Amino acid sequence: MDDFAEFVKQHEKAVYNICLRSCRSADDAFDLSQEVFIKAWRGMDSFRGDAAPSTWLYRLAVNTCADFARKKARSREVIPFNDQEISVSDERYEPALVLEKKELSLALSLALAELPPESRHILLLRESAGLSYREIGEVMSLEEGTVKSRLARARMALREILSKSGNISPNSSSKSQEKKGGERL
Amino acid sequence: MSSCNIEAISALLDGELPEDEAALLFAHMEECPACRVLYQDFTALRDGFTELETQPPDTFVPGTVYRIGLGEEPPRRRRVIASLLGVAACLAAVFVISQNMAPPDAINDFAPAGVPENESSVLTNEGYNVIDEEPGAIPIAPQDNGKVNDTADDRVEEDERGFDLIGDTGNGESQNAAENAEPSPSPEPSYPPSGHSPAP
Repeated sequence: MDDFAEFVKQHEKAVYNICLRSCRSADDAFDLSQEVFIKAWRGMDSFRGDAAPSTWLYRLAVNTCADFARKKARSREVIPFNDQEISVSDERYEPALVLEKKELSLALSLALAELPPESRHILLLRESAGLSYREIGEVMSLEEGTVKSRLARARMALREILSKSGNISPNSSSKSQEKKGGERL
Repeated sequence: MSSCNIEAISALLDGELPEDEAALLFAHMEECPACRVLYQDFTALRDGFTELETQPPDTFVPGTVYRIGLGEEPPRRRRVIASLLGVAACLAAVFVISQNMAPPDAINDFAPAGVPENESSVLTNEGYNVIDEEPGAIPIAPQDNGKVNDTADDRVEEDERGFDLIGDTGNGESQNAAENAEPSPSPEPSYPPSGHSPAP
């Protein structure tokens, strides 16, 4: 029991952030993250140990978020992303608190929501959970080389969105750069 | 590495590029402003992610352990308590305002006009008691005991309502009206709601 509580403490932040960036609601993220750990607890017996427990946990997190997004899409609760449509119950998006956030961070959270789920998850596994390419590959059942290219592509997509919204200098995300480098992707 | 390679720049940022390739890439970036800018942008994105990281609420770990069934119930989330306090404050304010605005004998206004006070007191959950008057009969107007005009106007409206109630006895509407006028006591709501109760 103490071991599992320690396991929760160790990974709560990463799991919570993955859920938060996937569902964009603090309440939903809280519930989803708990669901991930409850699934982990209940599935301990079936955990074969082929991968690290953390890898297995993040796979549960990604799958749980994907299920949640599918359910929301079915119930037509997913709406076209617009910063005015963020739930007002989410205190992190209240005006006074938003002003305290750095502009790029807010823009980044909005841009993340525009990414396809797979790109978002691969970025979050790298940036929030700090997984290596090999570990991300295990979580998402991808080859390391594929992780490398998809991660680069996700970053480029994110940069493009931020450039369009004026949060990254237009010069820095020049199309010539994309053309030059894009051939390699 | 003499040409631009986005994957390599991304991998360099992640520390996943072999040392020899990293050295070549650094050399290339010395000469290529576009790749330099791209590397800076990717670095800025990484910093943004760091800023974006959010600590889950303090109740997360105890709440999770509790839901698994291994720990004690954690304190309820502050937001729920704050919401309940807000609702309670609103209800109290509405009650106080309604008490201040009502005239001293306003309690009689809740009884349909035309029904004597002693009859209004026998209001039951099944509705008003039937008065032996033919439908369409003119209701008894209340005595004008020197009240101001606006109160008297209110009385006229109440008279009409009371007349309808008397005439409608026997159908469901009068019963609904009676229930609206004085709701029957309802059972205490369960808390927390079943949908949010923690799993054992």
